[in-house]
Amino acid sequence: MQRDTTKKYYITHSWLGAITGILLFIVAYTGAFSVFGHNELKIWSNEGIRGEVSQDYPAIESLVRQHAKEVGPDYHDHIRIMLPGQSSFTRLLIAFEKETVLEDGSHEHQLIVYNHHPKTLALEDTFKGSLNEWFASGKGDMADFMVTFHADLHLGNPWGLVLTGLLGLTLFASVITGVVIHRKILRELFSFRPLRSLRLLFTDTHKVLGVWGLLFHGTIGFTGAFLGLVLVLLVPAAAFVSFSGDQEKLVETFLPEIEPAITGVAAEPNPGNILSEFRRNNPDVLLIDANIHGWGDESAIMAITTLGGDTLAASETFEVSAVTGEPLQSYSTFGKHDSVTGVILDAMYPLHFGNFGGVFVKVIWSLLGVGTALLAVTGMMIWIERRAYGPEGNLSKATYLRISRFTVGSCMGLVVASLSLFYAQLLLRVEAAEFSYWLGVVFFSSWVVVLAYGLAANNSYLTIKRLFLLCGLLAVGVPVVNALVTGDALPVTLFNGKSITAAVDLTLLLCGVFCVWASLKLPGARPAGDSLAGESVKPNAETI
Amino acid sequence: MMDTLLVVVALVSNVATILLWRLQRESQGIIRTLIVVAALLSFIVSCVALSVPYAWTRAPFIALGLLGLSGWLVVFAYPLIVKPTESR
Repeated sequence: MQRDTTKKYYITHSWLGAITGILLFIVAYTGAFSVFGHNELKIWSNEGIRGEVSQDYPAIESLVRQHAKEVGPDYHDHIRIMLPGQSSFTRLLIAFEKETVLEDGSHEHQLIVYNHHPKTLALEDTFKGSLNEWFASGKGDMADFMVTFHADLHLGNPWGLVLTGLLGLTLFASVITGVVIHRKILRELFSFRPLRSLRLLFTDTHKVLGVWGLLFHGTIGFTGAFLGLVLVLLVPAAAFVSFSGDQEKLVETFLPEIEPAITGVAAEPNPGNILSEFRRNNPDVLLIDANIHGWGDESAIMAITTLGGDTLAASETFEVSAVTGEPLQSYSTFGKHDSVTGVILDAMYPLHFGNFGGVFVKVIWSLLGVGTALLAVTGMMIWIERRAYGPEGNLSKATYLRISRFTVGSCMGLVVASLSLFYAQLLLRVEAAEFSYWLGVVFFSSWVVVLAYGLAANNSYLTIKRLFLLCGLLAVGVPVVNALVTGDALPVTLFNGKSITAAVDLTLLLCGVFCVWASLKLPGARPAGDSLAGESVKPNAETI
Repeated sequence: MMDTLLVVVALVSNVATILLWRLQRESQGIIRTLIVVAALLSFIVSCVALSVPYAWTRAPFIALGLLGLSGWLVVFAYPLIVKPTESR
């Protein structure tokens, strides 16, 4: 390849990273967190689903029958049984749905939802209203907060989704340009010279993180771009091309609704027995929910949604007769649309979130996600180093150092803010409807405080050292506060069936100890004579 | 228990793949070819081991993820363990 072309790719790579580096760090770091959003952090955040939750399906069936009588036949078209502690539900929810056609021809879904305690199954409260109102009424927690922040930076649809989608594209483009400019990619697979100079440390770390995690970074970038842009751009575009702009028709084609052939012959559904039998036959999968269509008719269908089967798709649905339990068909989310497109669409979400193989795969994805975040930071540091202490750039050294302080403040601030969410989750005592708002207040306030500190402090090395210590102390403190507030002390949770709570506490403890250790090891000032030592810094393709 | 054992085998095979790949760079001729083949076989062993608990539809993705992590582990740990000054 021509040297000039390589240099153009280098400039593209460099500026893409410089402009989006901090945002990429934010999305990648929160992504590493969000991998555990559902259900590990969900369980940690909600005391009610820590430990064993009720899987007494016959008791659940009797509750469904009791409520079915109360709501009347108008609400029997679609009955949802949402099981607690498996994915995102913190209580047993039994919802009865009625679809009404409005004057303008559009459809509205009215719901009556009975919320039961996840362990005792006692009725706690009831909701009545539209589907949208029900979605808006749920109490948020730190798990939801982080997952949503990762998805749209709390900017909502469409701007947040477009932004994260574009960041995915940026990451993908950076991976491609990085490979093109890194001509000695295979020869430098093992180059890591941590003791020569700061710049070499940044450069080698960036290359090693990039090259060994190449497939992961590319996959995350591509799937992230797809997930961010699918609702905002891709669905409308596909509907415009193939369905004359009718988005509803497109969704129905790819995600057809279950419609039993109602015969009018009455028959008693047996959801309790069917779920018990299904659980016995499939002990390794998580049962998320069961949807019964055509309640009371002999043709009623029950669709059981599961996580953790043998396919790559995140979830798999098993349709059975709601009366006899006879298996009818099974499919993944887009599996009903029998095509390569369906397989690809099914793979997007699990490949992005790593939720296709239990906790082990989540740990791998999370660590690789931290690598993506560090890739963004090291890229930023190289960009700043080459300008503040090297021959590149037109601005003053002071300006580049200000950018450096901003980078340190925003990146370390995010880590502190994410840890502060654990404390907010445990200590906030506010109305359920206001919980997410106050989580946001704690999160963004702590972030802004650290950012201001980072900007104000002149010595970034000392700032990083101190903030690492703060992060370490905050992380170590979470299990202590958890034990004081909820009574779930770490040694106890290990032995009383609350293994996920124990694992989260233990992980925080280990991360905290690591941060404290790192803080003690990190230098408090820039090493003397480190500006350009040990490396030629001419910014051409040969030194990239 | 069996599944855990297979995951450990996969982890070890992945690290072995990286170390073998590193070793082949310092070798020549038929020895180098043999080491490359051994490294590829080691990666295949990792995939096969993971295919038992995770099925073939998932195992290659997990193995590739593990390969990335093993690469980081070997490259970052090597200079700290083997040579205190510099590694290349």
